[in-house]
Amino acid sequence: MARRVTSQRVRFLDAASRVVITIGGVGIVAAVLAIMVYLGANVLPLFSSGRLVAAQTRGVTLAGEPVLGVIDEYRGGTLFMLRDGRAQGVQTDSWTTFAPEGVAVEGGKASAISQVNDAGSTAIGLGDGRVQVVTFGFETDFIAPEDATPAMKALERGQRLTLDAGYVEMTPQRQLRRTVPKVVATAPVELGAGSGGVERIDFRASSGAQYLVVLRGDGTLVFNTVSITRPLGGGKPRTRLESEVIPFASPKGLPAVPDYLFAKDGGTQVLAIWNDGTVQRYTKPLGEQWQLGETTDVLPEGGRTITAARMLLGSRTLVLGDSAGEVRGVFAARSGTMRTPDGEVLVVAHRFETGYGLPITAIGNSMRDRCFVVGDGGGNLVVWHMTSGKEIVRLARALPGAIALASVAPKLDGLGAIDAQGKMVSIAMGVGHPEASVRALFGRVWYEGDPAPAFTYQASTGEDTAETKYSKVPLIFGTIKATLYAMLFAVPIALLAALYTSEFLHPRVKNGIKPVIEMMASLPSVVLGFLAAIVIAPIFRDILPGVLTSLLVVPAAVLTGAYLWQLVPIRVASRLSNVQHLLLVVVIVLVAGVASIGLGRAAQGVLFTPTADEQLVMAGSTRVVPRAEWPESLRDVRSLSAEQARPFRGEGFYYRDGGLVRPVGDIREPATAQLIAINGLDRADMRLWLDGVIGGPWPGWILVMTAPGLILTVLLRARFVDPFVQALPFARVGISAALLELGKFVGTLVVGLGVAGVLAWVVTASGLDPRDSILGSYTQRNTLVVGIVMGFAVIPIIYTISEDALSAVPGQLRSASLGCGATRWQTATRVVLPIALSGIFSAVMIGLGRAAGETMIVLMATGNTPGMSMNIFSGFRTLAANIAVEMPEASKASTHYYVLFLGALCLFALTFVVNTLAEFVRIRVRRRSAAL
Amino acid sequence: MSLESTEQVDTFQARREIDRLIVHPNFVPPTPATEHPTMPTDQPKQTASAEPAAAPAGGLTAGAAQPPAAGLLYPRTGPTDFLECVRLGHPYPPAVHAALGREKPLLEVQDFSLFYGQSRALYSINMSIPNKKVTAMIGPSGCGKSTLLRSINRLNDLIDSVSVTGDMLLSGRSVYAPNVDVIDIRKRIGMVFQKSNPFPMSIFENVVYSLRIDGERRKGVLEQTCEKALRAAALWNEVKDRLKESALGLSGGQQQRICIARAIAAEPEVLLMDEPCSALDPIATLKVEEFIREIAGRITVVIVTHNMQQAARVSDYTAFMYLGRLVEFGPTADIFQKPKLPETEQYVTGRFG
Repeated sequence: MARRVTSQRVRFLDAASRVVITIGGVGIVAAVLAIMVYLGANVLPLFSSGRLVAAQTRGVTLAGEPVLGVIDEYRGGTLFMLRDGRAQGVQTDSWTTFAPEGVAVEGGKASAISQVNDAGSTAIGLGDGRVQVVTFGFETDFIAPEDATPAMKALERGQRLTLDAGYVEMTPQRQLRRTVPKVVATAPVELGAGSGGVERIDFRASSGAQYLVVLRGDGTLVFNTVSITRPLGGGKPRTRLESEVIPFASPKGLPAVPDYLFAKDGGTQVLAIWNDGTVQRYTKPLGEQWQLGETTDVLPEGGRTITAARMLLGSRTLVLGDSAGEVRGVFAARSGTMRTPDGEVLVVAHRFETGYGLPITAIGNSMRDRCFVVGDGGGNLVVWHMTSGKEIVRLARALPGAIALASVAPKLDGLGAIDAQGKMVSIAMGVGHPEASVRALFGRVWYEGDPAPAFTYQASTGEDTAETKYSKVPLIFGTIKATLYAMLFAVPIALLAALYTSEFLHPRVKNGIKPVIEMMASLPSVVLGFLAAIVIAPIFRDILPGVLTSLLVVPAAVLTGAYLWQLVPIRVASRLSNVQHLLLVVVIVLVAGVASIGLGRAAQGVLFTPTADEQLVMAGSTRVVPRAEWPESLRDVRSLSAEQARPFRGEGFYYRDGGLVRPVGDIREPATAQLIAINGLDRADMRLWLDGVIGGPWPGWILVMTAPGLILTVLLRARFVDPFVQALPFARVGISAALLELGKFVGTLVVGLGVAGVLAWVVTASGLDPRDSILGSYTQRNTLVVGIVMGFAVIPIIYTISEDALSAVPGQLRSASLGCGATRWQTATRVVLPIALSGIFSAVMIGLGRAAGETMIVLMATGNTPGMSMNIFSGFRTLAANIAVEMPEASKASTHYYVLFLGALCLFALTFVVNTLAEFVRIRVRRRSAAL
Repeated sequence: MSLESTEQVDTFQARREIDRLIVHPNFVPPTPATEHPTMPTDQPKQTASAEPAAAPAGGLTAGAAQPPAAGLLYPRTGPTDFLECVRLGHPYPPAVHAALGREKPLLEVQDFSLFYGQSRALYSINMSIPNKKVTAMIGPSGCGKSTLLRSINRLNDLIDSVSVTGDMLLSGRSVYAPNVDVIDIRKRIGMVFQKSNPFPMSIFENVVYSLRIDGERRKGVLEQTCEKALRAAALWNEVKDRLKESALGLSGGQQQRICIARAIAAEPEVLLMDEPCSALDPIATLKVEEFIREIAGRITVVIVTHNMQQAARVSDYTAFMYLGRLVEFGPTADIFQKPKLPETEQYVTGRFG
C-alpha cells in the first residue's frame, strides 16, 4: 500500500480555515469590546469637569464703580453698568474702552440697579423714585459685503476689527459679523405707590411676564407687573406699570432697608434679604393679597454675613455667598403644610465651599443654565453648576484684588471678572457637561421647588429656563420593574413547558411543538407591543378582576384536575393517549380562564362594591367639612390630596376637590337614586378602588396577600401536617391516598385564602394601604400588561434553551431514577431539573437580557412616564425606551445626547452584572454535575 | 448459510432449510418432559402468529412438524446446527435443567416477546427466575440479555417504539397487565446499570433516594437505611465520614457500589444487575462480586454479564441466550461443566460468541 500523504489542498484548506476562523472570532470579541469602549468613551466626557483654555489680564480704567457686567456672545467685549447708571464697554481683544451710544440714565442719578434678568434687561431706580427699564447687552448683525469697509474686507477668518463701540469679525464662513453694544432705556416711569427714592430694585422676566419690585425711601415695597410698548413712530419705548403694595416691615432690630431684594419667578413671591442671613419671603397665594409668608435664617452659623446674592436663571434659585466663602442655593420648596400661607418654605438645598475661607464678593450667573461663577476677596474664581453640584472650573488668584464683578459668557465658554483695583481678566474655558455629575445622574437631587431631594428624569422641558433633570435611577427602576414582572410571568410558564415537553411529551409531538414555539421567538416585538397597547390593554381594563383572579384560578384548576385524575381508575387513565392528555389540560385551562372572568366579577362585587356613603359622595350629595373640623393630622395640610384623606374614610370624611366632605342624605331619595342609577354609581368597580375613590385597604390586601398566604400555608403544612398524615395507614397507596391528597390540596387552598384574609386584616389594622405601594391608580398601559406581553416575548427563548438543557440530561440517570421507583414527575424534579439547572439558568439569563433590552413593547405598551412607583398598574419608562424616544431630539454632543449614551451603558452594565453573577452561579452548579 | 437475521429470510427458502434440518437422520429423541418445567405446553398461545410484527418466522411455527412439549428438536450434526436453527427463527424449546423445577420461582417470564418497532428483540422467552438465588444471564452481544433484564422492571417502556407480548409474573402478580401501576412494580425491583450512574447529589441522598421519593422524612430511618445499604455494598467504611459529599467525587468502583447501595436501600424483592462490573477494575469487580455472594440467599439477583468467570463465580443459575432466545438455563455448575448443549459448552469455553 502506498504511503498515505495529506494533500496540499487539504493542508491549505486547513490553514485557511484556521486563519478565517481566527479572524472571525477575534473580530467578534473586538467588536463587543469596541462597543463597550465606544459607549464608555461617549460617557466619560459627562464626568469630566471644565477646563481652562486661556486667561488674559489687563488693567482697565472705568469711569466709575461697575455694578453689572455683560459679556457678548463671542466674547469680544464686556459691557459694564456703572454705579451711577452709565454704561461703559471694554474690548477684550484690544483692551480699549468705549462708551455705547445713548445715555442710560435720564434725569436723576441711579440709586439702585437690578441684576440683568433672563431677558437681558435691567431696571434702574432713580433717586427721585422713578424707574426705567434698560435693555442691556450686545446685538449681532451681519454686514453686507457692499457695506463693508476695505479694512473689514481685509480681515482673515477669525480676525476681528475693533469699531468705536463693538467689533467686526470675519467668520469662518467669510461673513462679516458685527457685534455692538445695545443699551436701550425706556422713559422713566413713576411708580403707582409710595414716595421717596428707589432703595432696592429687582426686575424679573419669566414665563412671558415681567415683574418689577421696588423698595422706596418711605419703606413702601411696590410690586409692579410691567408691560413695555414701543411707539409705532419710533422713539423711546414706553413702560406701563401695574403696581401693588406689599405690606413690608423689616424684622425687629434689622435695618429698614434689606440688603438685597429679589422677586421670584411667577410674580407671586418677593424675597428681602439682610446681611445677617434673615430672609423675609412675601407671598401672594392664589386669590389672596400680598402678605409676609415667612421669615427665616438661611445663615444659622454665627459670625457670618451674606456678602453677595444673585438669582439664577429661571428666577427660582437664589445664590447667597457668605463671608466665610460658603455659597448656598436657596429656593422655596413645596411643603404641603399650612405653616406658611402658600404652603412653601425656603430651604437651603445646595451648599458649596470655595475652600479659601474668604468672603464671597461677586456672583455671576449663566444665561444658559444653572451655572454660576463666584469671586471672593482673594481674587479667586470658582464656577459651579447648582443642580448637579459639579465644580466646573477653579481659578486661584485670577486677579490680585477682591473680585468686584464676575460674569459668565453667554455660551458658557468664558468668564469675565474685574477686581476693585480695576484689573480685569477675560477667561476662555471649556465647560464640559456641567449638568452631569455622579450625584445628578445617580443620586437624589433637590430640584427647584420640590419638597425633598428626589430621583427625577425630565430631559426635555417646556421652557429654556427650567432645570433639566437627568437622574438615571427612574429609568433603571423602570427597566428592572419591567424585567421583573416579565420574568415572573415567563419563567414559570417557560420552564414548566420545557419540563413537560422534554420529560412527558411523546417525542413525535415534541418535534412538532418545539419549532412552533421557536417560531414565536421570531415574532417582531413591535407587533407584540402593538397588540399589547391596542388589544390587550383595553381588554385587561375591562376584565381586570378576571385577569387577577385567573392568576389563582387557572393553576388551582389544573392542580385540582391533576388530583382528580388520580381518582380515575388506572384502567381508564392508561387508555388516554398523550395527545388526549394534553388536550384535556388545555380544556381545563381554557375553562378555568373563562370561569375566572366570572369569578373575578363576583369577587369584585364582594370586595369592591361602593357603600351607600360612597355612592352619595360620588353622586355629589355631600356637605363640605370646614377645616376646623378636619382630623387633627390633616388640619395643617395645605393642599389636601386624595391619598392623604383616604385613611379617614372610616371616620366619615371623604375627599373632594382638595377638601373634605361628608355624605348627606339618603341614596333612596328619588333624585339621588336616579343619579346613582343613571351613572351606575352602585356598580362594583375595582378601578374605582384602585383610584382611591371607594373602599378601605382590606380588599386590596386580600389580593396582595393571597400568594404569601398560600405559600405560608404550604410551608406550615409541610412542616406540621404532612409528617402526621404520612403516618396514616391509608396514606400511601390507592384511592384513599388520592382522596387524601385531594383533600389536602383543597384544604390548603381554603386555609391559604383564610390565612391571606388574616394577614390582610393584620396589615390593615396596622394602618397600611396597598394603594401606597404595589397597587395604585390604574392606567390602561401598565406594568401588568407589559409583564405579560413581554413575558410572551421571552417565553420562547427561555423555553427553547431550557428544553435543550433538560433533553441533554443523560438518559441513564432517568433510568436510574425510574428504576428506583420514582414517578416521572419525581424524576423530572429531583434528578433531571437539578442537573439541567446550569443550562436553565443560562436560559433564564438570556431571557432576562432580552427583557431588559426590550424596547418596542415597553415603548408602546407603557405610558413612558419615568416614575418610581411600585404600583403594578402604573406605567414606567425603561432605559431602552428612553433612548428610542429621546435620541432623535437630542442634539449631537449635547449633555442630553451623552446622558442617553449613559443610559445605554447602564443597560449594558445591568445585563453585564446580572450575567456575570449568573455565570458564577452557573459555573458552581455545573461543577457539581461536571463528572457526569 | 449466511443469513443475518430472520427478517431477511426468504420464507420459502427458510422453510426448505428447516425441513431439511428437522428430518435429519441423526435426530435424537426428546429428553423427558419433566426436565422442562417452564416449557410451555399450550402451543397455540405461543405466538408469533398472533403478533402484529408478523415476523417471517411466524409462519414456520404453525408447521405440523413441531411436536408438542418437544425437547431437542434439532439434529445433532454439529455445533452450528442449533444456532443456525435459531438464526432462522425456528421455534425450539430451550434446554432447561431439571434443577430449576425444584426451585420456588419469584419471577416467571411467560412467553415474553419484545419488539423495537418492526424488529423483534426477544422471542417468546419462557423462564422462571428462582427466588433468593443469583441468576446470571450470558450470551453474545445483542442476544437480548439486557433487554430482557430491563423488561422485568419495565424500563423499556421509556423507549417509544417498544411493544411487547406475553407477560411476566412477579410473585404471581402480572407485570404487564393494563391495570398494573408500573411505579409500584419498580418499587419492588432494584436495578444496577452497566455504567455507574449516581445522581449529582451527596452520597447520603443517593443512597436514600428511593426512600425520599416515597416521602420518607424521618431522619433516623434514613440514616439507618443509608448505613445498612452502604454496609451491604461494602462501602460504609470508605465513605462514612463523607456522606455529605458529592457522590461524583468517588472512584468508578465506589460509584458503582453507591448505585448498588441505592438499588438495595429500599429492600427490593429483586435486584437486576446489568453488567455491573464491565467498567470496573479487578479489585472493584471483586468487591461487587463479594457483595453479590453476600446478599445471595436474601434477595433474588438477576445479573447480566459478559464475563464467564464472573457468572461462574457468583451465580447459582445461569441462562444462556442467543439472538433473542433462551438457549439453555440451568445450575451454573452444570452450565459451565456439563451443559446439555454443545453450543453452550462452546460459548462458555470461549470457542464461539
